[in-house]
Amino acid sequence: MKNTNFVTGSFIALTLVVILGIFFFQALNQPAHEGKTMPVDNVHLEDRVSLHYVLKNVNEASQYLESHGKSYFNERDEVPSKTIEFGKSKNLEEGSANEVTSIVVNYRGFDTLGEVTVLFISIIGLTLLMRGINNKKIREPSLILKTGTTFLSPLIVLFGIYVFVHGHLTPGGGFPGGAIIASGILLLIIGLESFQFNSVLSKSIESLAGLAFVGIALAGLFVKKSFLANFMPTGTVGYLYSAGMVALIYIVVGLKVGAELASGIAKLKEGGKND
Amino acid sequence: MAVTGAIITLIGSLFLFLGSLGLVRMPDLYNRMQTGTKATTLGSILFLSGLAISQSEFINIDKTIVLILFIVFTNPISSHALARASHFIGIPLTEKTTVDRLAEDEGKE
Repeated sequence: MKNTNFVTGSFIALTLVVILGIFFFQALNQPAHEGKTMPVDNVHLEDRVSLHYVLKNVNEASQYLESHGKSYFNERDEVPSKTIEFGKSKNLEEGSANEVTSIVVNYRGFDTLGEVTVLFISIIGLTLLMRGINNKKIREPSLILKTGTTFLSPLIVLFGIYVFVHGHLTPGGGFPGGAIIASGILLLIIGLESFQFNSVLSKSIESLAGLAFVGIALAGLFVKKSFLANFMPTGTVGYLYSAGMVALIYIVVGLKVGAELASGIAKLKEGGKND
Repeated sequence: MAVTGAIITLIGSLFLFLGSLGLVRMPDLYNRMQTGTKATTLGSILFLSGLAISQSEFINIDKTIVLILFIVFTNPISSHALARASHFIGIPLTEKTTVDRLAEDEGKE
């Protein structure tokens, strides 16, 4: 019984890997679209967030464009004197107020998918290393730590959720938000003796989040004909409902990183059992 | 408003400086931890509130209050847990110590 399950699971995993490999190859093999990394419809040069990232300052970018733009970038595009304003500009290429997020999730979204996979593989390696190591006894927490844990850890988890939900607006994002959530779980593990880490729940959150990441990326492939293309309306810069799929991907990454790191911490406490 | 906020921020930075001076001058780990917690807690609170007063058009006052509450709760609890753990693994106290209640409590049990 156990053996057949194992064989079926490995077969499904192998099929998924092959399908994903074909898509990745297709994504990497696309022509360069005259310097653009992704086919983007109806986006003017001054709406490209990458330009403003390169020029480091949102409001001075247009002045720089006026003086250098035509010769420096693309001579066919007109360069009107327009500035990107927080809370006013609509329908930019990304719509993400945090430029680092727009680089990490959109222009280099494929790279982020790889980073998440690296974290997943390292947690698997930790699980393998912990095999055969028994759990260490932790000293009983003091009254102050117990009392603090009961009201601090939900707040810490809430703050982590805030960080990754606002990843496209403020500094932070999926990876720091996930790390904050994992630190809240670490506080629970240390401070509450009765706390039992639910590894099934964490594994299912992690797998579903990973599948959702790839699903969003494939939706971009079907809608805009490019893997991880931003296919949703981007809205107004600085609003919560903006930046299209950047926000969704950061939510998914935050959940995945939080579940992975928390399961790693719980594994360090419990030791390697026979699972 | 700007002057008031600047003065409060200056007082806060003074506390932060005293805390960092204590890290150098105190004799053992526990005393250093005490300066590094008490002085920096008060210093950070004053620093943040002074910043919120002087830059009120950029900084939300409610977010600042939440930050201050976080510092007030987390800083003492974490330093308490750290000091307790370092006492249990046997980091020595300074020679001028006169009383050690935690060791007495452990001895009773």
